[in-house]
Amino acid sequence: MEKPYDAIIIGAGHNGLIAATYLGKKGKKVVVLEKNTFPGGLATRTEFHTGYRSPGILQDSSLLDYKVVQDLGLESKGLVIQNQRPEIMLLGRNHDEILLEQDAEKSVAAIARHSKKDAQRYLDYLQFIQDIRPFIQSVFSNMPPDLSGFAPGQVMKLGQLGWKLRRLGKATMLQLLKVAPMCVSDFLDEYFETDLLKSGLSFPALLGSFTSPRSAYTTLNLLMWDCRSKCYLPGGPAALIDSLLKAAESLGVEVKMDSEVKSIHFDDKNCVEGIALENGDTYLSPIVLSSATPRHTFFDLVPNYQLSFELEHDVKNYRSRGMTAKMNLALDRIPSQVKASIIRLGSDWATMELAFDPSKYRQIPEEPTLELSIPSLGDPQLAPEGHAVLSILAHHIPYNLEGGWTDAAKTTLSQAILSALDSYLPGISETIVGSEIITPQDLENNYGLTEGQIFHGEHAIDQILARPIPSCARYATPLAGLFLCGSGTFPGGGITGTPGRLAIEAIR
Amino acid sequence: MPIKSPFFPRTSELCTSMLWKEWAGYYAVNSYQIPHDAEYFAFRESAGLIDITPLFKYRVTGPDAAEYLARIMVKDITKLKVGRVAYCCWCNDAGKIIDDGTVMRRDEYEFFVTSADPSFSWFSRFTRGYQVELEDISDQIAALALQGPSSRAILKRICDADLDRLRFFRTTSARSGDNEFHISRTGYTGDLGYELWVENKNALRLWDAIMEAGADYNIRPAGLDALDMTRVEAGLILKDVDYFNAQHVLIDDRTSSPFEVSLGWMVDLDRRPFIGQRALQLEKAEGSAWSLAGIELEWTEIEDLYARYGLPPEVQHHAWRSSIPIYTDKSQGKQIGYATSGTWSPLLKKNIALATLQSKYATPGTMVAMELSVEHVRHTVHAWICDPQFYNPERKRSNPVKDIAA
Repeated sequence: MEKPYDAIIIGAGHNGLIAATYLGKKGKKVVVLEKNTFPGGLATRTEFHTGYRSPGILQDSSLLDYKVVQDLGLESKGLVIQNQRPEIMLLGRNHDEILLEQDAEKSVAAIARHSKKDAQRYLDYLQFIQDIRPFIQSVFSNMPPDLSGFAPGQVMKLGQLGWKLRRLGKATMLQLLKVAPMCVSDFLDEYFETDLLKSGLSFPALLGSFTSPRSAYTTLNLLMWDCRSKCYLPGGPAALIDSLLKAAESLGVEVKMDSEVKSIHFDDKNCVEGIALENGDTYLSPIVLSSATPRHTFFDLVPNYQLSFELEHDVKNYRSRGMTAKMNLALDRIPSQVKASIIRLGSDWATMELAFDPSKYRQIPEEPTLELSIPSLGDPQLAPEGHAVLSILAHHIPYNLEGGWTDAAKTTLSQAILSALDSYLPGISETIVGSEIITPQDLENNYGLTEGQIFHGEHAIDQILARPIPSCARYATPLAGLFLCGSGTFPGGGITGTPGRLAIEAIR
Repeated sequence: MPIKSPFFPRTSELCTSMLWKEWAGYYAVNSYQIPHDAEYFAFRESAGLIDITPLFKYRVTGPDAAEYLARIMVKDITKLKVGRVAYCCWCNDAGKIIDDGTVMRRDEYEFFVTSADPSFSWFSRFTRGYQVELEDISDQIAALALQGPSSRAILKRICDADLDRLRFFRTTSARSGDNEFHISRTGYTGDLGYELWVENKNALRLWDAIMEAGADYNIRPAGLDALDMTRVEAGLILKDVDYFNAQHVLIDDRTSSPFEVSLGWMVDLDRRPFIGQRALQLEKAEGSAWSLAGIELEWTEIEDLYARYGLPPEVQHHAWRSSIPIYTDKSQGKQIGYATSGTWSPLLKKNIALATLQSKYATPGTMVAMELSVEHVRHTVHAWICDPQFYNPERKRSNPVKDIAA
């Protein structure tokens, strides 16, 4: 019989590959099993129109955990990483715009054209983010504290966390404790008066979640993003996958495509003993790390009788409502109005709330909130020379659309997106030569995302601090030998790589 | 306000005592006559008929029904053969009992489950991934228990079931004229007896047939007071008296595992995971803190105690169900447990009780002391630990036709 693997990893998305590469570095015999014919998960380039490729579902690479890059030597494997966040263009109707650059003075000047007061307050805002950054970064880049008991080591860790919070200084600490539970609209209203600035800044607070600017705790999501967003991959998330595959390969990690895991097997002591694929192949290992969503892992891969009442109950109640659609457009020229690779189409709170409302009633909003990126600016191989790929994330698009995601519904969504787009970038529709629409239903079908939720579960305070559920909050699960390492674990979804890195710490 | 069972037209007419209580939302007779002695002796000497409609009843059907129930129950239901009945309990993740009841396998893919508390919510949480349908049929099915040495003879007169061959804890369908129902050889009196499960619309016809056929045997409708005495004699525990539903308690100390209430025999530990398995495996390995035992009070000491006050000895007329402290010795040195229910057994002429004791004191033959109040003063009397099955006649499980193995 073949020697069992030291670990099997389910899913070759970035977190699965990162966990595998860490284990490979430790000299472990590791295999990564991916159901699709290509690796990368949400960070996969796909040709959606002849000659045009999309950079994958997620377009923000600014949260990448640099420790992963260092530990795994990804730069030596060809990953180009810039140590600053890309510029962000807030674009309003009537050609209103604010360009947020790394150089604060330039951003201030741009804001000052709208409001002198806001320009001054923007510096205060940046100062606050800078002040709390060490604390937020420390929280979200380390193993989450064990809240299940009061073991001396854990009490000390909690104490250290408290100390770090206190070291922010009394005023900053109190401000952080005050604003974190707030809704992002109230938080930004305290700083600014310009609608375009406020709405544009709020985007990261809403991405992926069943929330609108006036939903509680959305400020926390904004702070999580703003404090951690600090780099840029010109090649986009897909470049991370390229370098990870090289690193994994060099360490002898096997990565197998077209290998959909059907079930996780347990021995008669109820410890993991391996997996079986849909094609009947089996792989043996006492350790399985799943980067699939928590619900898929527990409800589809683990035999139901292995679940305790609590586990069954908690997984069922883990909120995972898909709220994001993606549209890729092939353009025959680079849009002239665009001054950054990331563009947020801003409006005001009322408009954003109105865009959220229909989704609560399983409808498509008339005017969805859109976040654009032009990945071909950083990665020219995505589009023919002089042409562009416009990649759009549309917020507040419900997974459970009334009547289902029929072709007619897809057309309605495409039209809503294009009509909104045209009102911000007049004339852009004339430059479109090809397009692709990806609904939350498509995200579930093609990428295994439960309910099409791009973060493997919503970012909400209860689902971040004990993610996905209390009994699995530190990557180990109540099932001996089964670990989670995907976006459904702390500190959450997006291209960070932190879940894959920290999951390894849970394996003893 | 409680609701009326399908038998109410008969029970209400017969209940001349007007002694009713509420049982699971139904009117239930405590005793048909003011003294319940005749009903007790009907259970023990002829036959008693009691309305047990207030039990909760569920139908579980589908190809995965056995595996589904095996995940919930402490007993491995996949091993239960068609036509058999299992008495079992179900636990939470901590291995503490939620409720107990019977599981009857009526067909390969059809089970009938009874419980004391409403259980649909709990059972329905585990259906994911199984081809199974769970139905609450509590208010569609009426039920009677016919218990006592004459019960077989009476039932044979009214139906076509082969009762001479129906063994203890087996179930069968039966027909009485054009009235169809189910029989299980189960009960709560610890004697020969049957429980009958019938659709509401046929309930009164079944009652009438039994009462008519039983007249020659001196059958009596019986109430819960008589039942309570017989179940203590039989050592059968009662939820909310001898243990508590783990989901309803305010503090964990009030929960009990199957091992702690003498139901350890029904736990099939080494099999596919079921709810509570890990905790029960651990408890099995480490030993249980508490054990359920029978205790028999030293009668002469009770006589002496009453004599001190110039009184003849007294016993409570009803089975009692209050918590009474039990000590290592009569000086009340150390409390080692408590009695949860007890009765004077007219048949055994003994003062008996069911008790929860620290396991090391629960060995049969151990002498302990139980509190007994006489004339407003708390005293103690010696008591002996014994098997809780005080009364266990051979006929409970025997058949007239012994050579037939089902």
